[in-house]
Amino acid sequence: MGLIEVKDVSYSYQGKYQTIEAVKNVTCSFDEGAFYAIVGHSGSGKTTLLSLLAGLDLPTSGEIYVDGSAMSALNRDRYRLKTASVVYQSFNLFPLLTALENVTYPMQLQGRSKAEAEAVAKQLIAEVGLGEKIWRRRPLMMSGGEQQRVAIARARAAGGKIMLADEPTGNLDAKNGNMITNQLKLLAHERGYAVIVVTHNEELAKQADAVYMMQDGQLTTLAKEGQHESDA
Amino acid sequence: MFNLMRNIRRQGFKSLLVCFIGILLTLFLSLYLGNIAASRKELNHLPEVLPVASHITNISGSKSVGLLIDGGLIEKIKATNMVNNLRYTVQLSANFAPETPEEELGYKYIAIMGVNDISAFSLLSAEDIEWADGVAEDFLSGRQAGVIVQENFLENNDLNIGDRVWLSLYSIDYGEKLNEIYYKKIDDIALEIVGSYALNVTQFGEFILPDMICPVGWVEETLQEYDKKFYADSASFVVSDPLKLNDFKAAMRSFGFQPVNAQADSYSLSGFGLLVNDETFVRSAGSLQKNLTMMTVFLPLILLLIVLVGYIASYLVMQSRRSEVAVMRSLGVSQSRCILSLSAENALLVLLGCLVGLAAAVSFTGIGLSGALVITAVFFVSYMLGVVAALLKLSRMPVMEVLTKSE
Ligand SMILES: Nc1ncnc2c1ncn2[C@@H]1O[C@H](COP(=O)(O)OP(=O)(O)O)[C@@H](O)[C@H]1O
Ligand SMILES: [Mg+2]
Repeated sequence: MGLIEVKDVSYSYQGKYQTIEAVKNVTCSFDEGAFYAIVGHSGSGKTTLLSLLAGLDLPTSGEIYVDGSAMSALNRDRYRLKTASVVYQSFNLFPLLTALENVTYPMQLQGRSKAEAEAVAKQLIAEVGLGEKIWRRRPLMMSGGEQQRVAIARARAAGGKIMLADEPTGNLDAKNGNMITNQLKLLAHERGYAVIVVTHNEELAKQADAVYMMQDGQLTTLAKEGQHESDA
Repeated sequence: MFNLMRNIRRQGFKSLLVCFIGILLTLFLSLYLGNIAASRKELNHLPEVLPVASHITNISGSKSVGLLIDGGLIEKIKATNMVNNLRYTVQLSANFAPETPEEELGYKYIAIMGVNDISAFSLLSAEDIEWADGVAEDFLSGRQAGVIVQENFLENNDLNIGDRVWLSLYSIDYGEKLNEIYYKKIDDIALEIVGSYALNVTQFGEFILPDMICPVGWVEETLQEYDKKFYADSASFVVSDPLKLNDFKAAMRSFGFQPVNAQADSYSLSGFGLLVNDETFVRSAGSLQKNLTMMTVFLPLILLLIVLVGYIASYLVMQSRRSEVAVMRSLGVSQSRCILSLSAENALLVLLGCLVGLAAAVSFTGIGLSGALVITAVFFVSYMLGVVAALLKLSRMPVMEVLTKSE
């Protein structure tokens, strides 16, 4: 059984005049230590699925199990605080906080002391390949690549093992994109994260252990190059 | 909470704006509530500033002395507790007993006035009286058998303070049609002269100036002793609670008093008219009351306005922090904690503004500590109600949508 089990999940946006079924009967599973890519056309429901995995919304029907517990029964704020983090295309750092403050934030939320949080944050910032110079900088003074790396450090600060990302390389050039791809892959393979990335980036998809294709709300498994569909 | 001060500092201009709103609203509320308090105070003090005096007249209002006022009515008025400073007088006549025959009374007439206070007789004041040793002003409000005598009368009759005079006393009656004067003998009675007084006038219209003044209480007691009815000659008083003027008037009506009517018989001596000098009071109290009612009626609207300003101000100021709140939610901060920390920022700023506003208000108006506390509490609760409502609305957002919308 995977760390995350998605069982027959559907989600509809209830509009005023129409109901949009963005996710339709999706069943899949995600393991620790693996790097997943979800690809698909714009509007196919990828972001919606990610928000369900992040516990930002509950499925209209079906259930997501995390470590055996039903998402609908979890305290989902706590789930995001302790277990799952999301990295976004537009980085979404706190604009008024420095890099260091951004990374310490989740730890201070958890009640850790400032000194301890800063020590861990510095370590995490170093691990995404940024130097001390970045510590006191606010997002406006950083490049996109730097911001996204700080965002990954912040996502790790909470200490959970689920890393979700929505187009994390979408605002970056190829060089920075590749750097982010490699870091996410390392997180899966060396630190045991379940890394689930929604992407248009073919390079990133190539690196993934498994690729899902989202099409009109439905999820299918894509065969990896050199593999057969039956392997999945 | 660890971000509180930092956030406030970094919001810079917006923090100042919220603070400034706090100042303005507090100032406004202070002036408003201060106005209500001042009006209420003024209304409560109005009876002292504008006492409502009243006196008994005949039915046409043409006479207020020389009346026949039933003693029972005086007792009833006393018993209502609705009047203060009840002053009343009585007239008696006398001659020196026993040598003077009854038929000569008409011209050897001694006029005696009974009063219950110096002020009951408008021509007399405390300085005009010289008292015997050991006797003081409160003699007149008592029941002692004694008189004070007009200086000239003392001189003309070779009398001195401390002497006893032996008088044949007559009560005055006015006959059935109240247009003839009768004297009815009470008895020959000895009275001690306990003082003298000087009158600055020798003539006062048709009013007969008294040769002697005695306590009206003694007259009442004596008449009762001799089984004769007591009629007061004049009576006046002050309405003790003019804010309940209507109750007072109703009570007086129930005793048989009527508002004066200039068309009525102006020769009548019967004391059934009631003149209440309440015009100024009623006019002032009326306008105060009207203002007070207006301001009280509008108070909930004012509070609603503060709630609304709190709502709109924080909604607008927080609008630019929508994505910040979304990030907080994404990082696992619960909605209630978001609201709490953001309202704490607002609360701190607006309290700061409130204090500055209060300081200004205190120097403009004379609000005390309790007033300031009330204003702070009322303002703070109202404003924060608006803030929390705005934050509730703001924090209930589709987090993913906010964070994935590319700016
Ligand atoms: N907040 C929303 N309200 C209504 N419809 C939405 C909302 N968000 C997304 N949708 C619709 O749901 C479908 C899936 O959207 P989304 O999950 O964002 O797709 P993707 O991320 O693959 O582009 C689309 O048709 C989109 O228009
Ligand atoms: Mg999307």
